[in-house]
Order: sequence, then C-alpha cells, then structure tokens
Amino acid sequence: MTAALTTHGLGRRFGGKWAVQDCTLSIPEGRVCGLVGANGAGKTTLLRMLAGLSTPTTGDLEVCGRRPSDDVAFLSDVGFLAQEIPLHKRWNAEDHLRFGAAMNPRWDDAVARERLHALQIPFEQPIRTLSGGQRAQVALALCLGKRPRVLLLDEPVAALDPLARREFLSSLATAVADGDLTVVLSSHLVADLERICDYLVVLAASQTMLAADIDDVLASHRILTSAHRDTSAIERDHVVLQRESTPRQTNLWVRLNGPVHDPAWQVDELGLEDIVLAYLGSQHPLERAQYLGTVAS
Amino acid sequence: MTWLIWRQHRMQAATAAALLGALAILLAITGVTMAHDYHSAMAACSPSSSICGDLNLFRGDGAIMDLVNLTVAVPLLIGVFWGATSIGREYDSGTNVLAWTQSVSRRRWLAAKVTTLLVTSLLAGIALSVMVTWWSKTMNAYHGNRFDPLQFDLQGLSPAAYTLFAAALGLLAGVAWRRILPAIATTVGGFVLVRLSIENWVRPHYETAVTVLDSGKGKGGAPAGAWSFSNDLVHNGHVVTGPIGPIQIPRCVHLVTRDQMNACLAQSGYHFRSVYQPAGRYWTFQWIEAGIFVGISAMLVAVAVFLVLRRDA
Repeated sequence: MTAALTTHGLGRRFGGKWAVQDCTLSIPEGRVCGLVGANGAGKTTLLRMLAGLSTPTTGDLEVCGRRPSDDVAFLSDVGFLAQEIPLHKRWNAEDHLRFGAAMNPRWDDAVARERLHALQIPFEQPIRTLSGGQRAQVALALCLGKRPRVLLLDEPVAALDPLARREFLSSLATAVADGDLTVVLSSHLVADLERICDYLVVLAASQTMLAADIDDVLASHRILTSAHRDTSAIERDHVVLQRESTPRQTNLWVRLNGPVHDPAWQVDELGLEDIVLAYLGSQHPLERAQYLGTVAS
Repeated sequence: MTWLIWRQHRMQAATAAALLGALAILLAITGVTMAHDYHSAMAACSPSSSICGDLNLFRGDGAIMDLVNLTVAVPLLIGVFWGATSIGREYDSGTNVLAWTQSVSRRRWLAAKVTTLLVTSLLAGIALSVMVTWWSKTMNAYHGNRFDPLQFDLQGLSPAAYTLFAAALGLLAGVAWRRILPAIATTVGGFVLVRLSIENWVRPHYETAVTVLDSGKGKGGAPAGAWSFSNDLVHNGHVVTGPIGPIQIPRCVHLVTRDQMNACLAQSGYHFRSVYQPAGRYWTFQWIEAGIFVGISAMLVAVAVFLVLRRDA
C-alpha cells in the first residue's frame, strides 16, 4: 500500500493558537478519504497545508512523495477546491475552462467540457448568475480537468441544498470511479461521506483520532449494553470511546480488539455517524497511541 | 499567464486607453490652437521691445486649463483602479487560491501580475506626461511657471514617477489588507500624504535656495521661470510686516521717483529679499523628485512581493 499523502507531527499555529497540532496520518493511494471533525478541528488548515497554500509551523508532510512547494511538479499533482468555491464571478464557465487550459500543462479539456455539458451547466452565463450547485460543479470540473493525482476538497457541499449536494457527490463519485485519483474530502456530514468514501480520518482537537478503512471501522466498533456496572474487564481488552450510565443499564461505545466473551454484554452494530460522534464526543480522552494502535493491525 | 492577465485586465486596459485617447484628442486640438494664438500675439508685438504688455490671451480656455490641472489626480486613479485591485481583489474574492492551485507557481504568477501592473502604469504615466508636457509648452512660455508646484507635478518626469508610486502603493495596500475597500482608502490617504509631504517639506531643499537682497536698483522678485518661495521687504534681516509708509520712514517721505525712494529705503536698512530656486535647476529637481518616488516604489513592491510569497494564501 503506497501512501498518497502522509503527515508526521504536523502543526500550524496562528498567533498563539494551534489550528492543527501534532497531526500524524497516512492516506493510501487511490482511496476516497473522508475527513471529519468538529468545526475548528483544523480540517481546513490541514487541507490548505497539503495543497501548499499554508506553511506548517512544525512537522513534515508529503503529497505524492513531495513536500508541498511552489513548483510546477508539485502543483500539477494536487487539485484543491476551497470551501468558498472561489471563481471569477464575472467570468463564465467557458472562461474558466480556458483558464484551466492556460494554467495547466496536463489539462484535459474534453473531460472538463463533457462533465459540464452532461450537467447542463450554461457555458455563456456569468458565474454570479449560476446556482451554488452549478458553481460547485464548474469548480469541480476545473479541478478534474487539471488531472491531479490528489484531489483535496474542503467542505465542497456545505453550502449546497440536499439535491445539489447529492448531485455533486454522485458526479464526484463517477469521476473518481476510474483512474487512481486519491481524494480527500472534508465534511461534517457523515452521511455524505458514507455515500462516497472508503476511508475515514477523524480529527478532534486537531489530532488524528482515527484513520482507517470504512469497512474496518464499521466492523470493529460496537455498542455494548448491559445491566452490569463493572466495566473493567471490557476496558482491559478493548478501547472504550464513550460511556453512558443510567441506573438501569450501561452503554459503552467500544473499539473491539477481539470478540466480547462475556454474555452479559449485548453487542450491537454502530452506524458510521455514531462511531464518529463517539470519537468527537469522547468524554474520557485516551492516549492517541491507543486509538491508533489497532489501525495498523 | 498571458491569457489570464489579459482576461482579467482587458476592461481596465480598454477604459484607460479610451480615456487617455480622449484626453490626447482634446489636448492636441486646444494645444495647436493655443500655440497658434500665442505665436500670432508675440509676432504682433515689436521684437525690439521686451514689453508686450498683457497679451490677454486664453480667456476662453479656462475649462481645458482646469482639466489639465486635474490630471494631477490621474496617478492616484491608477493607484486605486489598477494598483489596489491588482492583487487586493484576488485576495478579497479568494481567486488567489484558484490561481495558486493551478500548475503555475506562485512566483511566476506574482511576477506576471506585478510586472504587468508596473509596466502598464509606467506607460500610462509616460503617455500622460508626454501629452500634458507638450500641451503646456505654450502656457510655460506665457506664464513662465513650470517650476511652480502644480505645474512641476504635471509635466516632465513627475507624472510617470507618481503613477509608478501610486501603483506600487496600491499593490502593497491590497496585499497587506487583502480587502479592497481598506486598500483603496490606504492608497488614497498614503498617496496624498506622501505627495504633499515631499512637495512641501522635501522638494524645496533638493538644492539650497538662492537668496537675493535687492539694494534698490531692481524691481525685486525672483527671475522669470524660477520657483519663488518669498519676496519680502526686510529691515536689518527681519521681515517687515504691517503697513510701510511715511510714518515708519519719515526721511524718505519727500522723495518723488521710484528710484529715489528705493535708494532712500536701502540707505535706511530696508531691502527687498527674494528667495527662490533658479529656473536652470528645473531638470535637476525633476530627476531628484522622480528618483525619490521610484525608490519608494521599489521598496513598496519589495514588501508586497515578500508578503505574497511568505504569507499563507
């Protein structure tokens, strides 16, 4: 498994405040990776560092085997779509395609053009007259026409209505279906990520809580329910992310390190959203190594 | 990059070309007419006599003269509409991120943007200067005042240097603020402040001013074409203020002719003192002024480039 991008101890400080701190993760090539975290968890700063738009304060990072730098070799490998979906408001889609052609040596005009045709995006109307969904599609076409090896998307659907969001994600899904493009897509909407991603990174307080295959994540996380009050046996064998105790029962959100033998515990599957929430809302912060320990295995 | 620069700035280029073209036509027509009127009037007065009296010319040309005087603001307009928007608007609308995530390095993008801005601004400044300087030849001959502050600012090297400065100031303001409105405000304020400061407190001292005490023979005042700072009646080195008449200098009261009066005043310690920069220093001053503004521009551009390359997008 080759890593499309890796970070090690990555940190970025603005003034006295760390936006990203000690972030270590690795995303395999060819995956569609969802990056989740609460607002302010450092998703945007992380993506901007990966795109070379922001300079790390500490730590190392590599994208496609290169440190982000101001040279053509790095820039042509990385596509980036910022949260605000910046486009030239007075230009039309046609202008943006010409812009892409003029600014990118690997530009694939047919790919970008056919996408916009298929989506019935008007080519001659100024961008400011298009809907949010159409703008996002123009921006995505610009990113894909560039033929990057890694595509970084910062909350691209956050401002879109549910229908436009679904269209955007499905058109992204078809675009990444063929080829070995690696995509990192940040969002706080887990349902959206589940539809398109096969890899998940959870950031909380700017640290990596989880970085794993979504199938593995789903298979290894369970909610345990019991009338038991004693949880020490479970805590010894597994990683308890969150607990909830009522006089009648105890719920444990757990990452399993193996089967649960005690029949007193009822074991139920967890949805991806519940798993993510368990990590984000973890009331008993554990050692990061403990979280990451099982990822490698 | 050429495509991007052209696509982004073609409207600004067209507007500027149209305005400068219109000004050129206006100045060409009035300039030729006024030169003709002036030469006819000069030819009409006797070449042997140095005094033609008041030629009473150009009475109907107030509008064009005002317009020419208003071109003092053109560098500022270029600073606002070209300088401040050049990169300031990219930051403001986030399109700098769009440009920096294509396959063109930030350095190359910046070099193209800055070079285009500075070269076109300088060319516009030169075009303006050529037009106004040519048009002003008649007025310079008529009034002999091209060294006076406003005329000095409108002709020669000054407009080009000011335009370069305004563009560089706008560029830095846009880069520093990353928002267009504060960048424009900073450009306007900074330009006016620097221009007025240098004009009032620095330019008069490029060379030591000439001081002439008229001992009573001449008419007093600075020679033609000089930049005159003051013409005062002084008594033992002090400027005399208030009314000067028989009461102050009783012994000169009975004198009748002007020469007699002047001689008497001189004997009593009264002189006319003129302080001025002679007309021959005009081009020295132009070069020094232009040099200062080009130097400031270079520093502003250097800071702007540093900020764009070193700061996060």
